[in-house]
Amino acid sequence: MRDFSIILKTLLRQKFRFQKYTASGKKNRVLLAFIIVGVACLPMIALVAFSVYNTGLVMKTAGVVTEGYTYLITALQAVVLFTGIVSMLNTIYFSKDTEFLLPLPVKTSSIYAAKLVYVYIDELITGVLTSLLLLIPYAIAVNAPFFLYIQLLLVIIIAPMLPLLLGAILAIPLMWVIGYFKNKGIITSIVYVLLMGLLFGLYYYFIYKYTGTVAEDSLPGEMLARLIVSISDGARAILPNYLLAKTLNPVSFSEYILSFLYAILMYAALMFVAIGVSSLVYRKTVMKQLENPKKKMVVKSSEKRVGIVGALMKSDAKRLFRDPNMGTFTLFQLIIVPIILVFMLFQFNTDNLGMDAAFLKPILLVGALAFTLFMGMSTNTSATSAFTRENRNFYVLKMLPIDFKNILKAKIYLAGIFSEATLVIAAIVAGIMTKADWYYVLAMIGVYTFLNIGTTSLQVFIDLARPRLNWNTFNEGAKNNPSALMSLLIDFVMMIVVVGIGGIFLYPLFTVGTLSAWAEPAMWAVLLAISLVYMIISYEITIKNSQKLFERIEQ
Amino acid sequence: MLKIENVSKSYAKSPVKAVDGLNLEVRDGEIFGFLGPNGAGKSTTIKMITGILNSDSGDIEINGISLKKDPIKAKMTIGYVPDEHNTYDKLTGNEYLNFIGEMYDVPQKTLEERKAKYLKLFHLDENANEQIKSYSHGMKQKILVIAALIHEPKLWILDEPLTGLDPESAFELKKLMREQADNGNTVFFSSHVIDVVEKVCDRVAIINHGKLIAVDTLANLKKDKTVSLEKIFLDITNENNIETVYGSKL
Repeated sequence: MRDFSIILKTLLRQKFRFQKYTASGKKNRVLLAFIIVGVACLPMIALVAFSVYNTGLVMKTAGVVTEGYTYLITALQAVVLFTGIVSMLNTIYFSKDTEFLLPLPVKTSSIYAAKLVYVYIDELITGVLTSLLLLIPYAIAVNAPFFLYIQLLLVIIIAPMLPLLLGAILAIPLMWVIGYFKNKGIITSIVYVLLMGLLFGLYYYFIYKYTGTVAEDSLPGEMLARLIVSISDGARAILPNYLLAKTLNPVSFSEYILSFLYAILMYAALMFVAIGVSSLVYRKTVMKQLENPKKKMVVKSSEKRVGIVGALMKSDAKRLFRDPNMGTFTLFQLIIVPIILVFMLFQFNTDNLGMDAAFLKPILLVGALAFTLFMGMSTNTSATSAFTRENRNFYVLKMLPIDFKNILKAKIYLAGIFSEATLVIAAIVAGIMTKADWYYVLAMIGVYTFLNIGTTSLQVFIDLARPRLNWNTFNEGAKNNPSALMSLLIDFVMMIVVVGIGGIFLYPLFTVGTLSAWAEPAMWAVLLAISLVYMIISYEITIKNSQKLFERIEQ
Repeated sequence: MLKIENVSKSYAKSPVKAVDGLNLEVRDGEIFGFLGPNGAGKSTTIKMITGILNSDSGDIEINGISLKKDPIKAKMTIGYVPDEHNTYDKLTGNEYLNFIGEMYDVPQKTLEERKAKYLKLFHLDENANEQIKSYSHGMKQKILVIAALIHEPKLWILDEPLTGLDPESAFELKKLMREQADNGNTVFFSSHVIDVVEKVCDRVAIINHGKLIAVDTLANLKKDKTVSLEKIFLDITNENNIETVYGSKL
């Protein structure tokens, strides 16, 4: 226990110790960036909270309050899973401190447990923020008595454990597969991301199977009854969460005590299995990761010349994909954004909503555009960590006898390629699933491309202004860095603009039920024009102002 | 030729200057040793010469080219071996050298010839297609040495270059340094291993607290032939002894 607490304390100190100055000698204002993003996102936060509040009112009327809690806890866990699983694998299995920790005279299980708890504490912040959005408005809507808010706090603390513990167990076969593909360059990253995609796919399939979006007003009584049974069955299937949810809406004190006890026992058993089994194979697994067999790679001794920008991109891409951490972060968006989009469009299809396709198609296409822009761009780690990922090799860029503009272009182009691929896939998926006309899909790709170039430039620019160098795990550099935070804000504004323009042109659909022939083409023309202007301005700002930022960075 | 003129450098918000008004001239064809205790300002100076750090004041000229006015042209003539072995370790040795060759605009044919020559010299030819992360400490050092030589620089800067090298490679490196100097190039060499500095260098500078304390040939520094450079170094860097050794601070 002593070893565990010492290791945990050190890990937390390393993570949360505030750096007063950044690599460029400027005052570290990451907290300010958090506040700005938070304030800017307030309208969205309010919108989500309001929707959850209304859902709470509906659930209360339908008599499925506990089930509602269950789904919200599951949604909270989905967010933790989304943000935490890659962090967990990176912290536990791919961290550079492993070589330092393994020779210490402490039990492997202590190292493993300390790292797992460290990830949990890190993710708890996400859990708490998500809870404020989901559980609190819901509790207000269902008139939860005051003492249950205290129980809510306990639930908020306990709930994020489930995805992390399940992730820890799933990581064992995952790491075995990765170990098998180790030193196979890009294949390792692709296998890793595909497995993660499978995990998310299964999760969303589960949620989709047991839930459905139904317009409440249009439901006949029989259908509503079936829906309530479906919601009820689905909630009970997620037993640990259902038990936790019951403690938030107990019929009696004994039910509260029993549910809480069962929930705690289930979580404890899961923790016992996760830590017990994982720590048994932990040493072997990480040691396999540390092995560097002298494996010759099939590369030509002399390579074709591709010019300075090309050579910089080639070297960057190789380094990106030969590192499972970075490769995963980079490819993650390519897998996860289309998966979520597919499930979203399935849920909002005409059959589910009982609406006319002519009414729904343009709305869904704009919705898909806005969603993909936000998700696809904000998860583009190759842009938000363009300079951060150089880490201790940043000096190489500074000593090279080349014009900085070449370095900047190489960074923008490489990052832009990944997000462009995600966005084009998303446009095709959205086009197929909404049965959109091909020219609108092309227009969508055009809007994506312009916004992508503009946003990628800004993301690279912001990362250059405050890069996080000298990290031990890529997670430290990639997550919560100012560029990632500011990128969220930019992408959010972009999403609002797209929805706003869409809303203006598609408004007649909601009032008179039809659109004039020019409305959709005009909407896409305006979107294309605005994106083009945005691209030109962002790119110019980046190209003109980056040199001095680069020169200021000292390592 | 390397000329450092009144160069100073402070780090963010630190009241103490890491390098304080440094003036130094290193001639063509000489191996110049740069000595100093930990934290004296050696690495900061070297990073300023290589363009990794900017100086707060003063200028650095490399072969008559101002690093401030024309950094790209100046950097073209520098080869740098860093003290830490941080490099693109996900690339193979070959890929890294190809990358550096392209950055320094070395013609393809010449690059291939030089790669073959140096990889063989440092016994890395067998490992050239392995990722650098699988290299030992010494092998990483060797690939960095080769990368610094691949464009045949006029000024070769080595920061603690012998760390981790096996005796044979250390010998080859010292021989290469001499060859470079004999060809009219400049070798700027920082080390803690005073014995090596004593054997290899033509002139030596000693820096402490960011200020130059002594710069001279070994013969002139060693007024008393029986005293080792190590003793001189220890005496000079001990502030109380400076005046005893030199009469006054430089």
